[in-house]
Amino acid sequence: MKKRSLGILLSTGPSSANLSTAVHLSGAALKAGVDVYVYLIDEGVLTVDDPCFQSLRNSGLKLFACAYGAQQHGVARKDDTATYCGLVILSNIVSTCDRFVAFN
Amino acid sequence: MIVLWPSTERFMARPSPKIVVVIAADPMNSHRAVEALRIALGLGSHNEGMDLSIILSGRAPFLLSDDTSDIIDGDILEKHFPVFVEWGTVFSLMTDAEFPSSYVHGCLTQPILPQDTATTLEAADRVLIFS
Repeated sequence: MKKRSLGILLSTGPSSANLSTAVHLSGAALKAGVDVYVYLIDEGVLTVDDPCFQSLRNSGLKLFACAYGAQQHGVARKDDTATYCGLVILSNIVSTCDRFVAFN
Repeated sequence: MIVLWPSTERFMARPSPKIVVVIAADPMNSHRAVEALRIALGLGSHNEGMDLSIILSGRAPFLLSDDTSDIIDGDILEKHFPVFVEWGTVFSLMTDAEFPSSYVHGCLTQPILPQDTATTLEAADRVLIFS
């Protein structure tokens, strides 16, 4: 049986409650055995270094960050914290995941 | 880092999802309106927007204005917008929204009532709302 998958888009910054919601939803899904793909865009890229996301990566979270957004918001690209990529990856997440949630 | 991806088999077996992007952000006060349109462009790019619907409410219809001088990131908008024109994307404008006096050349629009918006959202596979 194929694993279920969840895609999450986060476009708000560290000060938004969306971050906590996205982190907790990701954690719960991973515990339930779901593949989780998080895409950070716009001000969401400012959360890429959040310790919670980095901890979840050790549990299997696939974390992506918009390369353009990182450039716009002055986020230094550290390839050990996330995979920096373009909107094609977001499009794939939206298309292929069983469930998709956007926090904007 | 190795990135595991949903299998190709899964991708092939599933039809392209119907995506609705709702933009309610005011393009004159927030960069998020133009950014939302850029994201919509990315989501629709695999099939020229065939499965993409864009609903504009509040002051978001000003994204379609032929005058982008007051729009935040108007230069980015001008760069991306011709793609929507090329795709023939029809923008749904909420009937209670605010509208610009004139639209960019080639832009297609249609009115949408609030109750029809609910139906559209219900029928979508994916919904992204930017407010």
